[in-house]
Amino acid sequence: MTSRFPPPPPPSGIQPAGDADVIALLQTALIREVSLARAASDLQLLAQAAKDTANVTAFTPRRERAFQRVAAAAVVVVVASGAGFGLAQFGGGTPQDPRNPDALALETPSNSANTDALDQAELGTSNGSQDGAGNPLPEALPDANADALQSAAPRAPATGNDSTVSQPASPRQEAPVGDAGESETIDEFARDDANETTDASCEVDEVEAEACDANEPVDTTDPRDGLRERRFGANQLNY
Amino acid sequence: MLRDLFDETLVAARRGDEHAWHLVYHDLIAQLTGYLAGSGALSPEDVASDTLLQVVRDLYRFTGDETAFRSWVFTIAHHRLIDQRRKDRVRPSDATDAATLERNTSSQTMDDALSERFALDTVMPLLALCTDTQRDVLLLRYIADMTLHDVAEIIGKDYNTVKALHRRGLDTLRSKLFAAAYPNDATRTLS
Repeated sequence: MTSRFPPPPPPSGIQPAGDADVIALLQTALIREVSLARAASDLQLLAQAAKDTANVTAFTPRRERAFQRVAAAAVVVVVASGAGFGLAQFGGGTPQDPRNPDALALETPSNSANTDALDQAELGTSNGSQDGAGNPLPEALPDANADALQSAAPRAPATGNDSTVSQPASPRQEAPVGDAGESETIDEFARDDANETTDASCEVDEVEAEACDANEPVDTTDPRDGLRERRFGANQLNY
Repeated sequence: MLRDLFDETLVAARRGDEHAWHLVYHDLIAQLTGYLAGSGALSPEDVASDTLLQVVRDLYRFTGDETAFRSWVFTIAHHRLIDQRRKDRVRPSDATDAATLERNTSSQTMDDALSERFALDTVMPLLALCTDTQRDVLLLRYIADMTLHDVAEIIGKDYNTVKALHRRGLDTLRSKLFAAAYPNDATRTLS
C-alpha cells in the first residue's frame, strides 16, 4: 500500500537502505578470515594432498598419451582388418597401412585364402548372393521359396498342366525321371519353364492364385505374403 | 586475488609446492567460507576444506587464467553445497553455530566481534527470506566476486534468468532490511 505523500525522512536521518548498503552488509557479515588454528590444520592437509597428487599425476599426462597411442593403433588395426575383409569380399584390393605396409602385405594372401574358402563354403547354403569369384549378385528369392521351387520344378514337365511357380533356370538341376517314360534334357526343361513363365494365368499373384491353382495346392512356406493360406483356399485358412 | 603472481603460483602448486598452496588457500578461504556460510551450509569451513582438497586433486586438469580458476573453485563449492543441501535439508537461520562464531571472532577486539556478530545475526535471517537460487546468485556475485556471466555458468542457468534472480534477491534484502530497521513505518515503501 502506498502513501499519497512522499515518505518523510527517517527521524535519525538515516537514508533508506539501498543496494550498496545491502552489499556492504553481506560482505561485512560473511567475508572473514579463518582462525589460525583452522588455517594451520587445513594447510597441512592441503600440502600432503598436493605432494601425493604431484607424485601420481606427474605420469598421468604421459600415461594418457601412451594410452591414446595404443587406442589409436587398435582402432587402425580394427578398421584395416575390417576394410581388408570387406574389400576381399568384393574382390578388391587390400588397404595399405602407411605405418607398416609390409605386415599387411604378408597377411593379405592368408586373409584372401580364408575369404575364398569362406565364399566356397557359403555357396552351398547361400541364396546365391555371391558368385564363385565373390562378386555380389542380385538378391535372390528366400530359401523357403527357393527350396519349394526346386522341389516343384521336376514335377512340372510330368503333369504337363502344372501351373507351378516360375523359377529361374538352374543349370545344376537334373533332368527329372519322369512319368510315362519321358525324359527331358535340361534345355527342354528350361524351355518349359520359360513357357510357363509367360502364361499369364499361372503368374504368382495373390489375386489369381486361387483361381489358378485351387485344386493343386503348392506348399509355399513363405509367411511374409500369406501365400500358402491363400493358395489352399478360404476354407483352409487358419485365421 | 593473486593477479601477477597467479601463473607462477599455479605452476608451483601443480608441483606440490607448499608455499604456493599457502597463497592459494589464503586467497580463497575467506570468500569460500563466507559463500558457504551465507548459503546455509552447516559446516562451512569443512565444506571449504573439502572443496580445496578437490582443487588439489584436480588441478592438473585445469587450464585458464585466474578468473577461470576462481570460477572453477566456486563451481566445485557450489556442487558440494547442493550435495549437502540434498543430504541435510539445511536451515539457513541456524547455519552459524557457536563454534564458528567463536573461531571467527577470537582474534578480534570486542567491538569488532560484536559488530560482526550483529551483522551476521542481521544478515542470516534476511538471506533466509530469499530462495536458494537468489541467495546463491547474490553470494556468488558479492562474496565470491563473480560476474553475472560467471554466476550463470556456475549455477547452470541462463544469464537473463540470473539477472532477474539478482534483481529480485537484492529487492527482497533491501525491503526486509528497511522493514527490520523501521518496523513501525508500515506506510513506508521503498522504491
